[in-house]
Amino acid sequence: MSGSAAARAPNRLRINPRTLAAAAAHIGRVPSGVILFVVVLVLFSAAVPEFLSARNVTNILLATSPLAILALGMALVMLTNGIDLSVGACISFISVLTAAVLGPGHPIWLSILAAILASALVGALNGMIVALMGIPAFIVTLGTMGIATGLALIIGNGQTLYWEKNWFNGVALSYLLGVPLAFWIVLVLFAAVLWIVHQSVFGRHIYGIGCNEEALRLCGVRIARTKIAVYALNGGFVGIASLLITSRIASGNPNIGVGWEFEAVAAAAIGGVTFMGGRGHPAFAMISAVTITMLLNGLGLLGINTSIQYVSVGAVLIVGMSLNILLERMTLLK
Amino acid sequence: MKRLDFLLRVSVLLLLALVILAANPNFGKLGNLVNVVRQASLLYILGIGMTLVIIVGGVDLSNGAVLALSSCLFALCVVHKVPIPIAVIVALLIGAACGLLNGLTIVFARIPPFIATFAMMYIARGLAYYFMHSSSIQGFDARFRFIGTGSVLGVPMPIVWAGLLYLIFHTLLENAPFGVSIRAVGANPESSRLAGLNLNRTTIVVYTLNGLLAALAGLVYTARLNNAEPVIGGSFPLDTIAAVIIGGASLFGGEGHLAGTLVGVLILTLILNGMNLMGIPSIWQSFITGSVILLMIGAQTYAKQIGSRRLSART
Repeated sequence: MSGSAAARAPNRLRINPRTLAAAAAHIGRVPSGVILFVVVLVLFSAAVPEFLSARNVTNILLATSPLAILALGMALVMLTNGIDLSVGACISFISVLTAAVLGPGHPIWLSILAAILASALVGALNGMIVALMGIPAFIVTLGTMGIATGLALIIGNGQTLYWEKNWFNGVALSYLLGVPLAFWIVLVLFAAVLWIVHQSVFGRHIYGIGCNEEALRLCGVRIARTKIAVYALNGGFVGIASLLITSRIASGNPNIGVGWEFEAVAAAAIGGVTFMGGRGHPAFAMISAVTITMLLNGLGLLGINTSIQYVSVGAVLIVGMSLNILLERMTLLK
Repeated sequence: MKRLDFLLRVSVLLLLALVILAANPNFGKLGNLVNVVRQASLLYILGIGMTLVIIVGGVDLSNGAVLALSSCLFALCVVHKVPIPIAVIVALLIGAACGLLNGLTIVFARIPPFIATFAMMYIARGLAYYFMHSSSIQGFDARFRFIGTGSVLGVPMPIVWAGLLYLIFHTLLENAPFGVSIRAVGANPESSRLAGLNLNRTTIVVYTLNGLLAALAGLVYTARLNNAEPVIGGSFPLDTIAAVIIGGASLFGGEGHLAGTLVGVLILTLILNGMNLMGIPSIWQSFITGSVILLMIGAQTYAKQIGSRRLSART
């Protein structure tokens, strides 16, 4: 373990916040997510004739949107050496919350605001416990996962909540210039994340925390504030994803979030964002989110049992991560 | 110090029992007490495995799903007229195989335990649904059901299993060389590697044992409820982790005792049972479990920080 860490050290030191070249070197490593993307694309296009039809591509874009948003947020969290396992539970919580606000006829903007704020608040809470108490992120977010699952059940008394049909129902399924509106939202958030990662000081701090937290602290960077901001940002993304899902199912379902955290982590991990933090790029996480969606979509088109789809995501994560480690060893040998 | 720690947890347990008793006298009835302990035994069988895993510095999110998978495969074997002893062995082997796979991915693919076991959770749960076609199987042989519903000298079988496993694993952990290496690997992987311990083998064996225990718990569960279905055990990972942490194990590895875990399991079961008696709806369960995990971890970290501050003040 220590051997590989030592071998990686010079690679880490090369990351210079100032130069574009450093950023390019940073992105240079191609993660298994890209390879899997091509493999899945080629395999399914060959096996299923309608896979690349306009209708199915639109389907994939629609289905990808929430996961791509989650993958972007999760990638940022994982870059700081963290993780957020409460994502799925949070989606359920926000879904029920949105429905609970919409149900009595409150304005739609209020429910959207409440959803994003509440979700960001859960994220900030995660961040505070992680940053201020120094507790491993996975156990903190495992705890908040339980709490959020509980909240989703408690708010709706264990029931699925409905509201009177309004324009919010149509958001997830509406189109702009032939592309799902949901995917436009993804692109906007992607641009924002790109700006954060490449242009902002905040982004540099995110990578810095993942690479060498202690050095950054000695430079006078307020680590805790950055971490809390990252978790809160991820929370906000989760809120947006949950709104898309809730709009699509037109109800507040306390079980709708089950498994999303896993797919989000899988997308980020296959996309080359390591669990040791500081390396990887959110763009690859997003591509891997598309890969996972294509895989599920393709298996569905082939008429394969949905339970096997569960298995396949688990298997893809293990294969993808093992492949990443293999690729890393190969680049180190060069 | 360690004994004081343990006594503290036991007194919390007793205090909790008194509070529940004061709120609802029904709690003190022998029937309810036996029920609580029986409920706790199943969680404890899983807790033993989780304790080992947490001591070695890992965590397991897949025990509920592995429990479901082995229980379902056992039921399918029975349906297909496989003799029960062989079906039991198949179920145990499946559990051990899942555990082994966890260990292998953690050791050789270097995937963090919570992710590797998370993936296993999906794989096992998905396979359980696939094999069962999302249905359930009921009605097992009375001789098999004895391992969950029977009793020996008036002690219900789940409690017998928990006691037996406690004895075995307590001896393994406290008196056998293997126990020493588990603790060493968890406490400081690098120095135990330099001391010549086989890190990989220890980790893999621990995860395999954990899978085996999950399968055993699955069999007892199936025998008791006379039912096997792929959906069971969803809350077990969170529950067992909470119980083990309440019992004083450290998530940073190296620390943890089976006696502590026993107290942890009892405390958690009492909380859930007490809620039940007080008429708090079961939808509060995961909220409570999650809060307990956060509170316990917070207290643990706080105590550790104070401890290290004192230590540095002294030196």
